[in-house]
Amino acid sequence: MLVPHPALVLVTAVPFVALTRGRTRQALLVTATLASLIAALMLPAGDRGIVELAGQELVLLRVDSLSRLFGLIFTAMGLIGTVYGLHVNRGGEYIATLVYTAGALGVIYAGDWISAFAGLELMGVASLAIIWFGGTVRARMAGFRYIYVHLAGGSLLFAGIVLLWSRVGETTLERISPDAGLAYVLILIGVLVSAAVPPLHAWLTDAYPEASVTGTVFLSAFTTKTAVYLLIRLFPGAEVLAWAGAIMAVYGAVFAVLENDIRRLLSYHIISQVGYMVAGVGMGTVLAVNGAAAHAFSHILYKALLLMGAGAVLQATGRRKLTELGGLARAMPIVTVFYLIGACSISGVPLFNGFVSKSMITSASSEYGQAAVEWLLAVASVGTFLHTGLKLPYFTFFGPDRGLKPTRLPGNMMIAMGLAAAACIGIGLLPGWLYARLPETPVHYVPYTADHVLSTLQLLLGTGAAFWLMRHSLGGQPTVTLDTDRLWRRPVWVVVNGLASGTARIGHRWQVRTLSVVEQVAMTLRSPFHVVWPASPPYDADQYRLPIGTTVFWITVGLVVLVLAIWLRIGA
Amino acid sequence: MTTSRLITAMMVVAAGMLAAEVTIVDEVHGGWWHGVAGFELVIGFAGCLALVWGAKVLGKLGLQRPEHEHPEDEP
Repeated sequence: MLVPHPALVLVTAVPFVALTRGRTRQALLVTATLASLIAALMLPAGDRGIVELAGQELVLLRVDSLSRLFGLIFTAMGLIGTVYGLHVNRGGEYIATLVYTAGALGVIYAGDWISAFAGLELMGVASLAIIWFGGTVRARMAGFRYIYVHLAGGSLLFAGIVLLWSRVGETTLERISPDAGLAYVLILIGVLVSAAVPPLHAWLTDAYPEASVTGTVFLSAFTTKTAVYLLIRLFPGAEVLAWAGAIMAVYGAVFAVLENDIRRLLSYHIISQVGYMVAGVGMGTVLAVNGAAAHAFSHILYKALLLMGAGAVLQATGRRKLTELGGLARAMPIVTVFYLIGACSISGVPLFNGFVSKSMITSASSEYGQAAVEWLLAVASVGTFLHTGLKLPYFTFFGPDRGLKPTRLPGNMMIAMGLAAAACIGIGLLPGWLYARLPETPVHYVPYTADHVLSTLQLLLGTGAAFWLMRHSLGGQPTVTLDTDRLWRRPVWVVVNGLASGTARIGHRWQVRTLSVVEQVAMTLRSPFHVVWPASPPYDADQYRLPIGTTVFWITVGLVVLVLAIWLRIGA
Repeated sequence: MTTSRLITAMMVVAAGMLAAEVTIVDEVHGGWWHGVAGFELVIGFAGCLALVWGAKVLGKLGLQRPEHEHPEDEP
């Protein structure tokens, strides 16, 4: 049976989405994303969609256990995100999200570097559009900064690909040996930019919270997880990643303490959670790499659920800062429950999906032999529960009532949150379903042992007790937090602005010079005598013109003669 | 729920978990610290305090700035 590429299904829907409106468009969007999910489920293993370009064989559709796992969650997220945003009446944003999802699917199913790079570029353009659909000045500026960083990262990646190509003579997307030298380093940095590894991360917390309520949900799912996919595919066992991931996990948790904006706080926890995945890839054992893949799967679901909950609060109240929110549990009970399911999942509470995936990485870290990595990941777990499980819900849903009157939310938002919540609980209760789909099978890991469950519950209880003691000092402040992007924002702005104004100045001078030359040439053509005798008076057309009255008289005479001639000819 | 009741409940749950750890868990993996009863409880509590304290210090050192210092249209 011929099963289409899931990305092709989404791209095919784009012109129809552009041409339709209302219910028809909604039905089309759900049908396309659902068809894409079904295609991802039915794809047989192996290479298909092989084309030749410039002597290189491109594999557009390589299906193995890793790409199948990511394809499944990407298409599922495409469906959930689309349902969440169905009430939005912005055709352009729908198209951007479809193209963004298709780009991500293009990368994870690619069997070669050229196809993967094309998918990454498609994602870059579409995600920029999603950020700009935020519609604010802040979104526009954040979008510019976002694209600067991704252009730089993409350039490094491209340089690395070209170097690797020239070295090995083929572009197959497979594990890269450190012997590849500079190509290895350039490709690694290029992918780490997309994974938002500090200090290359600030684009994420800068741009994601500025997109629309729907846009942020999509953004949280694809760019960093595509990078995690590439790290698993290309760099398993690279020790530097174990350390980078562990530091990243704590970094996000530390900055989240200072954050007042709920969507930016959750964005810092994307960095923290991706840190677990990066660390898992770096450890490189079967358990760790399986854990990284499983955690990416779980993370897409619970992070989307958390951001959908935060987005619902923003949609209903128009507010997104802890200092402006509070006491919403009574007015928004269902959203509160859905948010708490996401919070339990990201915190690794037993019976939720975060527990069955994160515990794989923490177990792998305890066997890795680097105590510092294990301890950093443990502190990051504390920070995750502190912020997303305690601080954010306490001050948003349960804290001091600010007298907010939230508006009614569309049913499609509730359905989408319900789907994600059900998936979080379902995978938590039946981890075997996820484990059977991991890259390295069979998986012998058992998450629900007395040791795992008790140690996790102890960690959460200790964190909860400390939060309760410090809750009055954690309520957020009306401040902004400076991150590493502040180091380059101003210099880059000066350079870009300097280049733009410099180019404009050169253009202006060129224009003035060209006009001067044209004027000289025109004068010479009017009066060639001027060339041999420059002192002669310049050509003056008015000197040879007849007065306007004379011109009109002769034109009138001419017309009369013409009319008479025609009349006489007709008469004859 | 009052603070004292909550703390009492937390202490009861913590005691129950410690008892369960001592009696049920017969095999632990990794470093020696995993064999210390209540270790994760302490890490959770102390780690949370350290994280918040460390972040607040960084904030005071210049990471946190008033909102009006960074307008929307800045580069």
